[in-house]
Amino acid sequence: MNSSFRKKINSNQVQPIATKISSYTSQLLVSSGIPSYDDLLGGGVPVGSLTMIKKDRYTTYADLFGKYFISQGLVSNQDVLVISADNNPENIINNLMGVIEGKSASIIEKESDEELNDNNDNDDKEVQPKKKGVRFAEDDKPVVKKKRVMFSEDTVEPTSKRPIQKKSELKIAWRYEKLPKFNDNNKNYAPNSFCSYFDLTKTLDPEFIKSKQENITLINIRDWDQNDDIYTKLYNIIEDKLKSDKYTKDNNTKTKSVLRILIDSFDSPFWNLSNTNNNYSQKYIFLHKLKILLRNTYSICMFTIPSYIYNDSRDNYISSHIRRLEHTCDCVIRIDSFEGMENPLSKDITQDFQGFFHVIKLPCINSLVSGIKMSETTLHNLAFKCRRKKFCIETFNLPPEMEETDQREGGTYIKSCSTVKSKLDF
Amino acid sequence: MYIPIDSVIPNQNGKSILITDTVFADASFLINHYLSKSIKNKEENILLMSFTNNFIQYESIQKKMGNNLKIYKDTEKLNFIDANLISPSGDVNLKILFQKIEELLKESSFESTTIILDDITHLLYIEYPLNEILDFEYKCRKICNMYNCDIIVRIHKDIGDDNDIDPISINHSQLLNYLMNSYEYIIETNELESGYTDDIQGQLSFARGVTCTQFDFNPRLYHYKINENPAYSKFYAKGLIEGTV
Repeated sequence: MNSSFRKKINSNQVQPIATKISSYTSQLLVSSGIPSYDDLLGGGVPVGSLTMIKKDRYTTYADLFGKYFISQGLVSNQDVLVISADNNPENIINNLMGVIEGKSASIIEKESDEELNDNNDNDDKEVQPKKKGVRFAEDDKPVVKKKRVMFSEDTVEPTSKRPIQKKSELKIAWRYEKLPKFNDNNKNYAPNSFCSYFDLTKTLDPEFIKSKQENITLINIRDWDQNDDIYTKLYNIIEDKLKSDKYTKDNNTKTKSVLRILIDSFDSPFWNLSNTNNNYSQKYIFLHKLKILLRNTYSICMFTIPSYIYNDSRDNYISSHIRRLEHTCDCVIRIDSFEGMENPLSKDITQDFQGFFHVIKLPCINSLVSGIKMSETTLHNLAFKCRRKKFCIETFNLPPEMEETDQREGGTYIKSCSTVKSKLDF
Repeated sequence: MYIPIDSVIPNQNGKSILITDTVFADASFLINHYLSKSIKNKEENILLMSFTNNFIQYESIQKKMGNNLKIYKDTEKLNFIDANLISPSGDVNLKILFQKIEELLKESSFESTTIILDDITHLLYIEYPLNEILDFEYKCRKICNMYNCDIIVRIHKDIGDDNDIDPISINHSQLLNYLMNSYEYIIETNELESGYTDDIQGQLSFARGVTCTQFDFNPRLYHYKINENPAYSKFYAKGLIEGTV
């Protein structure tokens, strides 16, 4: 919804790349990589926020959040910091989902070149677009590109392919010939676009990751000497990293960037290898100090936590430890998949959704209410689905009752009062 | 400043208010309500001690509520103490903080002062020794009594009921129970008992504390929906069952 009303924004402020300003809370937002999750939070994840994602006992859907978050960061040219004790952080980086329209522009170019050749071979222009559509579907190409089927050969195609060829063929829209061409390229493929499209069936190009090496910092907690105070050490490392001019909130440098921090499985048993008695306050203090740090810089942190090991699961939220951590986080989300449910749900539900998505706390940075436009009832009635290619969050609603009854089978069903077999006889 | 809240608790100096909240029903709007109220009152000054939030947080919320904290900051009117980095052995500890409070109250030229401790639970969470927290809280309350000042303390009340030996939650429940017994007014925010609804965010209850001597105070129960603009916030008095009136 566009309105003529413009919020007064300090124009001297340098805005970090790939961010936008929320129209509701005036907070700086970055994308989580999951459009439906961004939408839920009112446009994106606020910069300076600390997000807790509670893992599900039986599945690893929560990890997807982290991967999307990191992928999006890399694609939009931001810096990432991945911290893990359970997994090797390199594994996380190497298994990121592939971007459909992203920085891998070279690949797209290559593909389009190949396609050009294909097209030249194929003389039958009538069939061509249709065939293409089919081919795309087979090849797991983006859904967006399927749109091309709708355009006839003679119109300007909004997609990027073959722009040079097409130019000479403009017939209907000759008036617009000189206008700069509408180009999806610049909008979606630019390295600092807000939100990209990801494809879970693909992995991010290793070449691309290699080229981003300087943006990636990995910390493997298990490599550290476990007798050290890992929380203080980790905090100091993050603090050092955030001292860079890029992330500070002054206007010394022209280019600002956002540091995305992902902590994988925070507070899993691997985080307390050294101390035999679990030092609860240490973790709270770490998160609290981290939050202060995040607020004062351009950075954002998301962490997943196996809360089930602290007796915090589907039916019992009794862990006081997790409660305390929740209080210090800005945003708390719980993934609750249908796996392992005591009473299995109907097949109709499970084929649509993979589990519930619980919102426990929403970010209210510098405001009393979160910037969501969703109604309270919808907010607490969400489920997630993980399709082959994408992960998304939707309102949970039960499918229509589709029982195969006599009536549907076309069996005899008398609607009238009389016993005669005429259907409309009263 | 939310007028319905204001009308419940008698408007006189020297009262102590305990605010209890949970993860699901955040009570920061109450803190901001009292902050806004004291800012607007010309005869009062404020001492806001925050353990969990920074100044920008209060500033931007107050801006939306119609107060500009910037002009009051570092004046006698608004004393903001950032105690985020408090630690028993560090530079910021409760002893030093109390000294600050004492000095400010002694030198204050205002008729009355409102002391706000935003989230005393933080002290428990960082494992500050319980006796020192109690001592600090008690001294604050006594000094407020002496100078006829208001004290407003916020505490989280959600303690998990796990039976494992978690020293923090044991201390937490002790402190919570102790404070509930020592304050004049207790304001609780809860999530709705009946689930979620679009027009109501939670439930707000005003209760009489043990030490309350005001006889014209009636406990109330409100359903609320908060907006930063007080005019758009909604408060509905919950109905009472016949016989309890």
